[in-house]
Amino acid sequence: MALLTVENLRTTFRTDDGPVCAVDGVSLSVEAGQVLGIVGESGCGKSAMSLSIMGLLPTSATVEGSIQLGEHQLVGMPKNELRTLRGSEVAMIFQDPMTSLNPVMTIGWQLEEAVRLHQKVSRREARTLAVAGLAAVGIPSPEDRLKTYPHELSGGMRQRVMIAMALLNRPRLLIADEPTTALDVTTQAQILELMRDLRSEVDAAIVLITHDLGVVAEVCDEVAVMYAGRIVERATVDELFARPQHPYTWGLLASLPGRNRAGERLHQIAGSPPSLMNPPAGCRFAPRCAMAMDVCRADPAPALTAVAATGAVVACHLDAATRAREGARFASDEDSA
Amino acid sequence: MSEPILTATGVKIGFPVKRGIIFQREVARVQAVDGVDLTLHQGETLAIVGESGCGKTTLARGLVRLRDIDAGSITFMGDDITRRRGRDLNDFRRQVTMIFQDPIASLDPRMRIGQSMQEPLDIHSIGTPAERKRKVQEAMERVGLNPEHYNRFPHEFSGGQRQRIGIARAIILEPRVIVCDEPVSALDVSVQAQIVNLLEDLQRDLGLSYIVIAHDLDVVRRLADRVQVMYLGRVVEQGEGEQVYNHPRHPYSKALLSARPIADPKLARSRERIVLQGDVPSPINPPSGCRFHPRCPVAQASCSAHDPQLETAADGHGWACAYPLAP
Amino acid sequence: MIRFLIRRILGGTFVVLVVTLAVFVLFGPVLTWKSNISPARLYAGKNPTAQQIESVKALLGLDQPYYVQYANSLRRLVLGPTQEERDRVCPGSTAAECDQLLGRFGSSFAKQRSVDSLIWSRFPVTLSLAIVSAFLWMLISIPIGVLSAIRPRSLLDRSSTVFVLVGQSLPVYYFGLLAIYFFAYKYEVFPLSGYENFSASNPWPWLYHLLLPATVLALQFAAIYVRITRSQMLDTLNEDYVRTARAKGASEPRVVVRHALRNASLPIVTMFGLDLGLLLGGAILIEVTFGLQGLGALAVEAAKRLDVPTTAGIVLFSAILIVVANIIVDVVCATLDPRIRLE
Repeated sequence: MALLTVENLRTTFRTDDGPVCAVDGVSLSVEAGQVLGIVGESGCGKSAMSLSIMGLLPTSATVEGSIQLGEHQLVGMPKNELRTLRGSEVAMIFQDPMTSLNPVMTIGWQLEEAVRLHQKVSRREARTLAVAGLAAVGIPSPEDRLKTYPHELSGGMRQRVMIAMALLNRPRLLIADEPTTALDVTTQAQILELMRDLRSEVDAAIVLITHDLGVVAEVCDEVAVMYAGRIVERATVDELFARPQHPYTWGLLASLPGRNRAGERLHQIAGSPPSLMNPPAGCRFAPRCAMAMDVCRADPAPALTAVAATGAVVACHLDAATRAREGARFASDEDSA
Repeated sequence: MSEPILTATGVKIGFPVKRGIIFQREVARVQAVDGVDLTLHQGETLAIVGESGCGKTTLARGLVRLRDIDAGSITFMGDDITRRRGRDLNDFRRQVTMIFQDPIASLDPRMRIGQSMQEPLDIHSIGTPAERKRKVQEAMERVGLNPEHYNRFPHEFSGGQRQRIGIARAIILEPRVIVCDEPVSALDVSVQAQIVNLLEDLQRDLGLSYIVIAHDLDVVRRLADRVQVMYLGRVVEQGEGEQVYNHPRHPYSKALLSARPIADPKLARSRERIVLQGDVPSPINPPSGCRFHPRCPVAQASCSAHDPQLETAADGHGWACAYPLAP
Repeated sequence: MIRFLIRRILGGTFVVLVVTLAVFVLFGPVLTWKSNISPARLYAGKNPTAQQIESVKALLGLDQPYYVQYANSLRRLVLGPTQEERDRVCPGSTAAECDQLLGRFGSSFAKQRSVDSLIWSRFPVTLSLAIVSAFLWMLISIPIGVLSAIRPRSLLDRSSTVFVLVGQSLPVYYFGLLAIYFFAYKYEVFPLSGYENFSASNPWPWLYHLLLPATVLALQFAAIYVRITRSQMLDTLNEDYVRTARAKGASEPRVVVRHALRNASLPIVTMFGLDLGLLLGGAILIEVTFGLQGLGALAVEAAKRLDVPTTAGIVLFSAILIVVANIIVDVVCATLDPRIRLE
């Protein structure tokens, strides 16, 4: 039984220039103890989707569809009820730890607030929980750290604090929005290792949003690729890298600098993502797709269809044989030699 | 190997730490760059790689004389430009330009992009206004921008396009050297590929030499002929790309290479990862002896006492480690 | 933090020193040189003879070289008048009697009183006006500013913008007179003028007399503070840490007050301290319009009757108050924002 099931999620923003549909019919599910990676570039709607799940959208946004978290249906839930779930049942960590922590409050105060917002405990008990939380993410001398301010800590430490804060109330779902993008490479490795450890210790379902396929390969069990507000491919992580199905995924894999042989130009995906104000008809990737056919440019857009035998799904009009053949060129197995 | 055009010897750059109640006295110095040598040859790309706090950005600014250096010397085309200022640097500024990391912050939001790109020409009084505009439009085409967008503002462009504007601005003076400070870090993956390709093309077509500052080793691997790895203000390893990437000798280089997430789940699960403990230390109080020893996975007892110097072998591969890894 | 405080106090002292020098120079040599207002001539009475002027000069200590005069006035400010000065100015009186005539800030010969006693007699009025007014304007502007920021472009927001414009545009003497006409004369809600001393047992008469002028003054400031609060809150509410607070499940009021307002308040606190310091030096227009005998009114009177020591004394007193306000504001800001303490 999946912990989180999203069905046909549609999030629209009202802007001065007209409605923008940032998330256009996304469906996915995550089990407890599993890590689902959402991969996409800026503007693909991955952040909007996570904010929709958390209920953190501005009032100018409307959410349609279904978000089922355990026994709770989050779409249409009254704000007060949603607020009690936020931070306790579902927690989120953000990209930039430098700005995501309140600069004028101590770490201890912020951690204790996270606890006391949802648990009826005394100040001392909250403190104890905060110390334990910091220790669990590998911060040395946690009692002393409680009195420090965010600007006194390094980027890696701050992100650990954010993770600790999110886990304090034992959420069932943890959403991590680009948690390592703003960090140094070695710090990133530490945080990824921490997340791998947490995965086995904590029973939560984790949704990891990133644009970095390397991060996906290191931490995730399943992957969904998003483009222009839609999911274009979804598979287990091994499947995605061994047998990628969608031309956009091929483009992403090929763009990885480590992929290309010296002397070859880096593969680049021509053009740029479409404006969500006026998305193209049919498949939204068609304008940039080297293999687009006429049917791709016409509505309806290709639906997510299963790929034989693997459980993966892809939204593409190309036939299975073509996809397998082209995909093999970008698969990771070949380049590991 | 072609002739060297930009060399730096023993460069030290520090920031004062001031304390005092009435009058601030300098009590300590944060040595952001603590004795760095480098040589850039004609037509090559030299990459300087390291994490935050290693001093690479400060070094880059020192090299283009955006700030003074405390010790050492910088020579360009045989001229010592270390202490030159103001107008004496004009010739240098024409020939050595810079591309910055953040395409949003490095363009004046109130200036039309045509103006921004034309400004270097205006400053150096090159050509007539009509000629300048034409040069700008040529540069725009060369970097893949539509010349008709001359009068637009930066916010009307995407991140990748803004970086192209920055590149156009850097090449408009027809320089010999471009220092690129993290040119693609702030961009999406597919856009990174476009910009890297562009930089390669420009190098080939215009005979440019690059110094590329980066923290992402993969990007640099594409571009770099030679690599220098920095840690806490020092160069800990240097050599040709192939040498450093495939046969790193300094434990930090190896950790840096290992830390990069690998886009292959099977390999990611099975490989031996080196995860360094602790944070990147602050340059205010560098560790004793070898600066890397507190985090070094293979540190020996003597490493806390002895500060190794960079020693370069005959093939150009050098490292600063008393117990280098096996090749 | 202690080091921070010491640095600020030392800096403030230095500023006060510079101000005393500036005041001395401006109200002394420059004034005499530029206009023909020589204190000696003024106090010597009608058609003074040269000898009379000289003896007045000796009395006032103006026959000394300027740097000596400055040093003397500085010493008198810090340590009080010396016996020698007392003998010179009020011969034969006891120290207590002489203090009525000569104080630290000098002596107003026109009024035959020490500048200190003049200032202290007027200061309570100004202080009361400033405090009540400050209280009122913060009470009005902070909630309106915060609510405008929470709901930008709503009806509340737009009306508060109009309110701001009106408040900043109406000249206070006109607005004050209008207020008196309507609320004191026509409808007799408030007294026409006058001031009642504050008494702890029954503060109502005091408040009653102050309410109209304080409100008029407050509305002027409220206008600016609504604007500042609104823009600060708008910025802060967009910060990442506010998003984190919401993600933790904090209620919107808590987010607004505990997280956003606390961070947004720094510039507001800074301005408040400075404005209050300024007000303590006298709100001239309000005091004159409403007939309040405060420092501002005193300054006007003194200037009109060419009473140099009093005018200079009020300027100096004001400056000291502003410096003190500055220091307090700095300390409060450092308490609110720990990053400031690093400086």
